[in-house]
Parts: sequence; structure tokens; C-alpha cells
Amino acid sequence: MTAPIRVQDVTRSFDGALAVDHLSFAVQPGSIYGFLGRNGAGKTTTLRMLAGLIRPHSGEVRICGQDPFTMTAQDRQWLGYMSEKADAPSRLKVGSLIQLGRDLYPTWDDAWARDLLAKYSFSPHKRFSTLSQGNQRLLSFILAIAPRPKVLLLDEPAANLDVVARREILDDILMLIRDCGCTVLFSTHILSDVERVADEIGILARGRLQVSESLDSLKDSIHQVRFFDFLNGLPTEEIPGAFRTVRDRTDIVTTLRTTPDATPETLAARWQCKQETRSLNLEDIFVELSRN
Amino acid sequence: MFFLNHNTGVPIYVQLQQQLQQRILSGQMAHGEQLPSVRELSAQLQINPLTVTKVYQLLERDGYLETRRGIGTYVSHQTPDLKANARRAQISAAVEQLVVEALHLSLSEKEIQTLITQKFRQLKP
Amino acid sequence: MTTSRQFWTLLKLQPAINPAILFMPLIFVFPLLMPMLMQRSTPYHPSLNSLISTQNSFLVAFFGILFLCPELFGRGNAKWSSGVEFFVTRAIDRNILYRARLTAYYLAVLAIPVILIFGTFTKSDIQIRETNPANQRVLIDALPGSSQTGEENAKEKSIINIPNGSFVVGTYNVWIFLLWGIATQFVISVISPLKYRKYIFWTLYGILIAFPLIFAASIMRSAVHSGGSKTPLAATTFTWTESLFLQFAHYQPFIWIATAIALITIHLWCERRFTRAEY
Repeated sequence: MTAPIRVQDVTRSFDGALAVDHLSFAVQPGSIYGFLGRNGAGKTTTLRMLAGLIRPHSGEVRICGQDPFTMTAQDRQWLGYMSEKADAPSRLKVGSLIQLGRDLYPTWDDAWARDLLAKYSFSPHKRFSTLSQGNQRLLSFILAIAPRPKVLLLDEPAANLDVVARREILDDILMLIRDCGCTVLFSTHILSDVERVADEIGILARGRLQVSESLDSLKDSIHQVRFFDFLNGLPTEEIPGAFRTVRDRTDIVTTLRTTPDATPETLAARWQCKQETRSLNLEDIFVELSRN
Repeated sequence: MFFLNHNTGVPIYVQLQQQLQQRILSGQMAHGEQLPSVRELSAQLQINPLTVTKVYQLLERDGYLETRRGIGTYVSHQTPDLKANARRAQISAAVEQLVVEALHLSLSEKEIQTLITQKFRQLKP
Repeated sequence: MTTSRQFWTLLKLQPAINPAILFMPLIFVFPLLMPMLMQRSTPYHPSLNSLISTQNSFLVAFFGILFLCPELFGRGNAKWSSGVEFFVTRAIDRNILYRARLTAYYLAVLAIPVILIFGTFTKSDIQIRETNPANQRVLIDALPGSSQTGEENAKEKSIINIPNGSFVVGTYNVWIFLLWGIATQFVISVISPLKYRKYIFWTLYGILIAFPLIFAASIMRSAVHSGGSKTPLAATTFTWTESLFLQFAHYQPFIWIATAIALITIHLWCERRFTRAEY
């Protein structure tokens, strides 16, 4: 089965500056892909290409095998998108936007939409532009998920939201996954959100993908190791798979991606020293990778 | 209920796997007891259903669980030998930590054994 | 969702999205009704004087843009957003979205001129006084069914009878507004993807406003230079708007067909451009 979200060797620049550079990744059906990166890394550009707002300059993007730029209304019924800006027409009322959803999407779950509106206390008569920034994005989120899409693209869904609302939308995303087998790609700065729900993550830096693998394997393989009590003095060689190494007189502390032939134990045996391993959470891993 | 910490370096699936293993080994979950479905457990814990599926698969591979197609997932009827090996493997990490600490504190093997015997007498029901 | 249902759903939303569409007809009505307001006693009776609407119909461009491309006015902030990005990422066909917006636009542009035509059904004949023989000849030629009559005691017949004259003027106004509408649609479609579209638009607009003034100034200057002497009898003295009207009146069927073809062709071109644009 083809991956519902597929980006293949995509390049895109703006005014001569490269935003996305030969990017390739795929999101498997039913999984949640967390897209991370610092500001300006190219996350929004990638999401906009997947949503069909802009085209790649080379390579291709595919949603369920189709080019999102030329998708018909029929195909778009299964694609939900939430922009990083509040992009709904400013003068429309909440009620009109919900009605539009009902009219355009045969799979619109009205009961769920009403529950979500009640949960976040939306009044149907307020105009979109008079909502607070957080509420505007919450409404965009509701409009994206209420049709129960098969593919969901979220650009910084949790930005501008308070802690409780952030937790709530993550729960809503999980519910979509459980009940509809939805495939989700979301970009975010908030790493704890990614740790909660994502099973695969991609880290984008300057338009290139530094990392694209399952969160579990990332946490399993990247550790911080302290080598100490050297019997034969400190080794001077490069440590294979290390991101960052700090050496002082008696210790070496390194952030290490373990491989079958370079585990902390084998290295400690080789250098005749002791080792102490600490596992890293996603924030630590991200910072270490970003500094590299 | 399971206690999962999303923000540590330990992956969620490892935490859940260890806690489930613990409950099965300690007898908190009886042989043949049915586990919640993937959907139910993921909803309960608010985690990705794929994580729960992974954990169930790993535990089934290690012999803790068995899946009956179309009915559900159950705690398996383990042979005691396999379980004993698993138990020993589980505790070996704690033992290593104890020994390393003891070496740092310059305590002898005999002193540690005495301490252990004392603790067993204290805590054994 | 079927395309026709999509179309109606999107069309119904246009006034809510951009209320400019409701104000447009009201703004346009003033230049057209000014002659009527000035002669309060008579029923609506557009004469050639009401061709004043030609000069004021640049308002079509102004308000057309307010509706079609409000981003050109604001500083790109949310208050002016027409939500194009939002709609393009919903389950709609882009060309239907464009068609719905443009239908709403043309309805607003043409509403008042079309309604005013109904006011021309009663007492539609016009009589105008024209003493210049060259002008008289041109008028008779151009306006179908027109004839020259005179007062009983006058030396020459100086009254031109134009049957259904008001109706012709009314349809002429519709045509002018339609042309402005098409031109605005075309210009917006051309400049929308450009980076400096705001500057281009306001420059064009400035030229648009300045042009009639420059033209009028040059006419006045040439009148002054000729010393106010009588124009030769063979030359006509129509303003360019009146000349345009006369051409229109003479070639009506042909002009309407050409306009319809232009409208459809330009619209299809703009629609394709919209469908392929990036947001």
C-alpha cells in the first residue's frame, strides 16, 4: 500500500533562497509523523506543498498517490489542512464556517463538531476576526478534523494555545487515529507534544532532513555516555557516531548514536575504562542534533 | 493504571512493556486474564495505538501474552522455567547497580551478602 | 459535492465574505441617477447628458478591486482577508470558486445599470437640439430610426428625434460597466501573482484618474488656441464619450456579440490563471 503522504526529492526556493533541498520522506498509513525543526528550516514550506498551495520546483509530493496541487474537490474531501496562520475569511461567522463544512464534506461529523465547539466554548455568532488568536487556530483545527479526513496536515497546531487546549487537541488527534485510521503529519516547536503522540519524527534543518525515523528507535539509540577511570589515559581518536564530545582531564562525555559495533560497552572495553549511560529525552536529542 | 512519563529518554513502549511484564510476573495479572484491546488501552493511556500494538507484539514474542484471533489478547499460561529466566534477567540490572555501588563504597562481597540476608528477613511475608 | 451545489454554496457566501459587494451597486447608482435627481419633475429620462456615467464608471474598477482583491488595500492583515488560502485547501474545485466570486462581482457591477433600463420603458423617445449640420448628419446616421424635425417657424430643422433613445442610452451604460468589469477582472488576474502588484495597481489607477483630466485640459487648451472661433461647418464637435456612444448605437448587435466573446474568452483565461496560481 502506497504511503498516504509521500515527498520525493523535493526542492523549492523563494527569491533565490533555498527553502527545501532535495527532501524525501514518507508517512506510513495510520501513523503520526512529527515534523521538527528550528524557525526557517522549511517545515511550513513542505506542509504548504503537501496541502497544494504551492508547487515544488523539482521532485514531487503525493497525497494518496495524487498531486495535491491539482486535486479535485472529490479527492480533497479526505484531506484536512490547518495553516500556521489564521486563514479563514475574516468576516465570516463561526456558524457559517461550520455550515460550510457541513455543505462541502459528506463525511462531516456534525455531532463531534458540536461537541468540539462546546468544549472550546465557541459562540456561533462571533466573526472569525473577532476571535482571539488562539481561538482562531482552534477553530481552524476543528474545521480540519471534523470531516474525519484520511490524511491530516497540521502546521504548528499547538502554537498560541494554552497548555490545557494543547493537551486537548492532542487527544483529539489520537481519537482520529484510533477511530478512522487517519494519517497525520504535524509540525511543531513543542517537543513534549511530539513525545506524547508521534511515532515517527523528522528533523528538518536548512531544508534538509537530518533525521527521519521512529521516535522509539531514536530514543533507544541516542544516549549520553560518560567514559571515566581510564587505565591507559584518554584516547584521542574520533568517537564513531558521536554528535558532541567534551573532553577534560579525566572524563569524556559524548552524545552517541549507538551502532552494533560502537556501543558504550564495546568502547569502554576498547579504551579500558568505565562507562555510565544516560538516556536523553527528545528535547536533549533535538538540541544536540541542532548544534551539530 | 500505568504510569507513563513522556518526557524521559526511555521510550513509551519500553515503559509500558516493563510495567506490563512486572504485573504479569508478580502475579497481579492472572494467567488467562484478558487484556484491554489496543483501542481501549490507547484511549485509556492517551497514547498512539501503534505503541500499544508494538508492546503487545513484543510481549507475545517473549511469551507473556497470547492473541486469540478475533477474541482478544490474554496473559499466557507460561511454563515456570521461561518465567524464571525472565525474572532473573529483569533483576540482573538492579544487581549490577548494587555491585557497582558497593565497589565504589569499598564494601566487600561478604558485607553485601549479609545486608541482603537481613533485608530478605525483614521484607519476606 | 456536485459542482452546481458547490457553486451556489460559494456564491451565497460572497456577500458575507466581502460586504463591498453590497455597497458597490449603491455607489454606482449616483452617477447614473444624478441627471434624474437634477430634474426632479420629470420621470427618469436619460439623455445624452447622462453619458456622464462614462467618466464616473472608473468607480467600477475601484470597487471591483475592493471585492476581487481586497489584499491590495490593506497591509495584508487579517481584517481584509478574503480567505483564498482557506478555500483552496477545502474540498472545492478552484475554478468553481473563481466562477462564484466573479458571478457575484458581475451581479454587483451590472445590477444598477440593468435595473435602470426598466426605467426607460416608459417615454423612451428622446428629442435633442443640435444646430451643427455635421453633427446632425452623424447623429442621423448613427442612431437607428432617428429623424430630423423642426419647429414650425425655424429656418432649419434642429431637433433630432431618437426613438427608444433612452433605451439605447441605458444599454450603453450597461455595456460601459461591463467593459470596465472585464478590464478590472483582466488587470487583477494579470497582476495578482506579481510581487509588486500593489505598486503596479496604484500606478495604473493614478494614470486612470489623471488621464481624463489631462485629456480635458488638452481639449480646453485647443479651444482656447482656436480663439473660440466657429468650427468649420463640416467638422463634428462630439466629445469622445459621445462619439463612442454613437459608434455603439450604430453597431449594436455586432458590439454585443464581440463583447460576449471577449467576456467569455477573458474569463476562461483568468479562470485558468487562478486555478494554476500559487497561494
